[in-house]
Amino acid sequence: MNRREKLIALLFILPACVLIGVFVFGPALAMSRTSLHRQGLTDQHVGGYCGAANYEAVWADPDFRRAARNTAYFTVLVVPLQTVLALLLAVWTNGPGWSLRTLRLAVFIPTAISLTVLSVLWKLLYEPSGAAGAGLFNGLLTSLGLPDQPFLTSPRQAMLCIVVMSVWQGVGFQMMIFLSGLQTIPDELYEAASLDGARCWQRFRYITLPGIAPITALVAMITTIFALKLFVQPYLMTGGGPEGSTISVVQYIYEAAFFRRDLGLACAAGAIFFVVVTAIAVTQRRLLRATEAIQ
Amino acid sequence: MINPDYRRSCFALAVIATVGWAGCERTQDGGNVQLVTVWAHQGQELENAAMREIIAAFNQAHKQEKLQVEISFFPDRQYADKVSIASASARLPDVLDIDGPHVGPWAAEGLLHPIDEFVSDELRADFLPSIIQQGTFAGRLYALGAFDSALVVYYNRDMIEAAGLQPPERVQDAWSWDQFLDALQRVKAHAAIPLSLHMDEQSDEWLTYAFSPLIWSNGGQLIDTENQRVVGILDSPPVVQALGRWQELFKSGFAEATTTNPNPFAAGLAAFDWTGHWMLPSFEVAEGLRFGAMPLPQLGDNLVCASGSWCWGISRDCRDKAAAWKVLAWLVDPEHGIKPIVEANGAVPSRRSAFRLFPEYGQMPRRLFREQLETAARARPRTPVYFSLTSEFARAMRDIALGADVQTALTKAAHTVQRALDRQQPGK
Repeated sequence: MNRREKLIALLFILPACVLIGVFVFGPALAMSRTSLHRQGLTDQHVGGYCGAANYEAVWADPDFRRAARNTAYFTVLVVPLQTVLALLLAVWTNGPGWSLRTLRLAVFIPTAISLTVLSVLWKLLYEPSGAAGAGLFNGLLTSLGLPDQPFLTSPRQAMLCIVVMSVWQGVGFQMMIFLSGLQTIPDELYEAASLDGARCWQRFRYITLPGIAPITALVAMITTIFALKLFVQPYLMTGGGPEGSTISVVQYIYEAAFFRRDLGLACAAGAIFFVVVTAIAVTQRRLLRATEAIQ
Repeated sequence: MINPDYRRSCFALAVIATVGWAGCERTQDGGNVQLVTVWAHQGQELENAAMREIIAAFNQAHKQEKLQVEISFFPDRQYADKVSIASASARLPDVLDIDGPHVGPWAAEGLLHPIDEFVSDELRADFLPSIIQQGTFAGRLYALGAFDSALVVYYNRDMIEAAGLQPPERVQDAWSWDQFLDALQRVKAHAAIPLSLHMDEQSDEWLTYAFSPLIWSNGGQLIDTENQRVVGILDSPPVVQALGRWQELFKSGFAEATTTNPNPFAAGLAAFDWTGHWMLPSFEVAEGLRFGAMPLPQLGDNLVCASGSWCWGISRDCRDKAAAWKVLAWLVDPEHGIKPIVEANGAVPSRRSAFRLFPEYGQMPRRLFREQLETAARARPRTPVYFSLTSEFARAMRDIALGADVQTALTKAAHTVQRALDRQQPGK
């Protein structure tokens, strides 16, 4: 590359750099700075430096701990469930023909619909089936002679209900990624295995799984990051209740900023959250790479 | 080698960017016309249309003076967030719409400019006491509204008569809690839902607005604003007792803790409806519905009613406070401001002198609306931590409705709000 080409190349990446700088790095730096100062939401100037006081306050706050526990619980349930289900659906719907195409589309559609709309719809589905209620799930249970379930109004069931809804909503996206991965596995491998007498399960175990290992790593990582960012579903379906059982870290950050009017606290929580998410993503990547190397 | 097409495109982009940038610059003077900016929450379409007409009339009347108003509407639920963010970047409008209980935090945070200097004693006395109370923070007046709200219990006459009940009409004759429970027990046989409490309402404010009067009536408070205490106040015995009795409504099957029906009363399903003036128009047009209204039942010895609604204040960032006051005065003027907006939203006029424009306030149920605002209304607490208080209180109320332990729910809420309060005053 001569100098001129280098300059043009730089010009081409400039818009992306500017946008990332303004919308990602700028706010991240501002957040780190605010997290070390006392600052109210509506203050025009950053307040006094307070060292790690905001971090200590976040750490000591039982509401934050609760939110962190809930988010961890959600992630631990959603990531394996969604990844395995997406893989199974991808294997099942991989192939030509209109019926499989329709099935793929049906699984994918929820991903293309706004999560806000889906949350409101699922809230209705989980309603009681009584006099004024119109809950479809409870209606089905009643028609089968089973007792009504409290679903979103029970501290024990609410998060599980959100997990089910989230898996249903997100699985289509992961399935598509798996499908693209499946198509990279050469057919010859399957043919050879069949000739050697490998059964369906063996073909899956020894060809498909190793073939899509890198994709699995990617899917697991994306799902983990999405899961940790949980906000819309509980915010709209339960408001974080009942009894704080579905409040997420992101909702805690939102409430710290806009309800407690405490930008310092919100930024400290945001910074902790950022570090934890990054650490998990990096660890996960390393672990999966290691497994890949062994295979 | 650089392609000439690229060079041209780059140049074109640069030109577009420069022109676009310049296009964002707005001329404020617009030919020596003084512009006052107003932000309002987006209400029902009728209400927004009335607001636009009020502003158009102002602009028409002040053409000679070259004073003009520009109004912008923002969705209800994002309005408070929008104002908070605008404050941080010093871009507040001159005059802004404020939900009553937000006067406290916004005045404490310095977003608002006090308006005492513009309000004469005579003018002050013309406003309902609840409006003055709502607009006052730390001894200074920050906001005035064109209307107030009224919270009553509507009843279905057919069901009440079938149960042989005679609800009161006057504030001082309000039922005791036991009388109310007894009435609910008696109408249970005649109604699918004895009492509608609108637990489908998504906003936290509904719960604080609608049920704080029970706590006040029982001698409790949500917060001690003088000593900045929430722990030991929000979870104190009078509050726990009041909400324990409120929980009986759900436990006895009188009210539903979860529902999707926003208006079971108009549909003839509910015998009683604990709600505000804003539902009245839907009841008046409901086919075959015969209804009346009574004051809220009282839990304790104090006779208390709810109050509060949107009001107007002048922002800190406003350069010409006197011009902004002219606009505010127009918005709360009986003829120019109150009449059109109240006709659109059905709220209660905020000024005694405005009631002569509304003959319907001589009859029930509107007579009760006025009477309770004049005699027994109380504004929600004016505190810097109101946003946190109302959110945590509503969260506790939802849990209590679903059967949670009252003391535990209130203690948790009290501690969360106390933490927010303590962090606002370092050193405490």
